[in-house]
This record gives sequence, structure tokens and C-alpha cells, in this order.
Amino acid sequence: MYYPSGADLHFLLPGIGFEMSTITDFVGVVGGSETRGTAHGSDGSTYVFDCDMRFMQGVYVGADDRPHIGSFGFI
Amino acid sequence: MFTGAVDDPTSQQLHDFEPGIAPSGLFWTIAVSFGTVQVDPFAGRARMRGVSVAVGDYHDFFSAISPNPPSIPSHVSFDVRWPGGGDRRTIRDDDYKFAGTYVTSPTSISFTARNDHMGVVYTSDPDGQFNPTLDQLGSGSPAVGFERNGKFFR
Repeated sequence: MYYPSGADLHFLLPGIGFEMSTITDFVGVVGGSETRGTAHGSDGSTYVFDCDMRFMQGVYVGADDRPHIGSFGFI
Repeated sequence: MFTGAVDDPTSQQLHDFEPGIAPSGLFWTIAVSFGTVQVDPFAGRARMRGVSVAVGDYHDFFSAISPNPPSIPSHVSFDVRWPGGGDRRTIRDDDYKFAGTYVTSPTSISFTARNDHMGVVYTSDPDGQFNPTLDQLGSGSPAVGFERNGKFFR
């Protein structure tokens, strides 16, 4: 994966009152959540998990500066 | 994956499964098929499912957001549910330039995650899940709704 040098990270919490979308120039349907719990490994280990999961479905302006319809997941 | 409670400073993160940052700057976000999401935004109800989605294991959050982070190929499957039925909220934020109408909802998740080099499969436990509040260093209530930003912000 590539990290864009000099870039700022712009993403907010996936809770009510914060911007759910991680797509800019977007209009559509979104969902966001942070869920915690426990998980177990197939090796018998036990861990705590924290999942930030979101979706975005709608119209966005692409890198070509044209509108597109798309569906995205933040995983 | 953490060795203990997320808000416990002695806890250590051992795995961080996510898609990485694209050259475009797209952050931990990937295109998915429309069928991945089923949603009724008026009721705040939704479900998002994925099967064997290719991601990386970046070990921990701070490694994941560092320049050129190392990662190990991994796969995750997930099923996230927003049953809906919460409060309806209208939000407009002129600082971050987004607005929307939302319905709050608790969420639950079922997942498996596997770091391809380790072979161990991690499976979420269905009991005891919760959505952490801001006081718990979490995000507060999950929600589903309509949102607009950037060029669509009015």
C-alpha cells in the first residue's frame, strides 16, 4: 500500500454527530458503527476486538471530475 | 485485535486488518458491489456483508497510518447489522462541510479474520458486544442515514 506524502488524514468517528462518509464530494446513503467485543483464535487464544465498519452508497465525483454511482465499504 | 480492553493503556494491539490507503488517498475504503449492502435509511436499518475480502494486517493503528506501512496479506469475512429503530437526527456541520439525516441504531458484527502467514483464524464472539461511548474512547451511537459533503454540501 502507498501512503500519500504530505497528505492530511481526514476521517471522523463513525458515530452520530460525525461525518460517516470517507468519500469526499459524496451524496447518498451511509452507515457507520464502532463495535467492541471479544474474539477467539483457532489456536485457543482470546482477544478483544474494536471494529470501525461503514458503508457509502450513492453519487460521488471521481478523480476524473465526473459524477459516478458507487458503493463503498470502510473496513 | 487487542490483548485487553481497548481503553486499557496496558493492552497491546496485535493485529489491524484493513484495506490500507490507496494511492488516491482513499483511506481504508474499497469499492464493493451494491449487493454487499442492504439498507433502509428511513428506518435506520442496514446490513453489510463481505466474504473473504482481501485486506492487510498492519499490526496496529499507528503502524497503519505511518508512511509506507508494512502489512501481511490477510482475508476477512463480516456481517454487520444495524437493526434501526433509534432516534432520528438532522446534522449540519459547517466546519467539516457535511450534513445529513440519520437514524441511530445499535450494531452487532460477526466476523472471521485470518492473517495468511499465520494460519490462525479469529472469530468474533456474539455475546457481550457493545458500541463504545465517547466516554469509553469510542465513537458513540452508530447510525444509518442520508449524508452529503464536499461539492454536494449546501
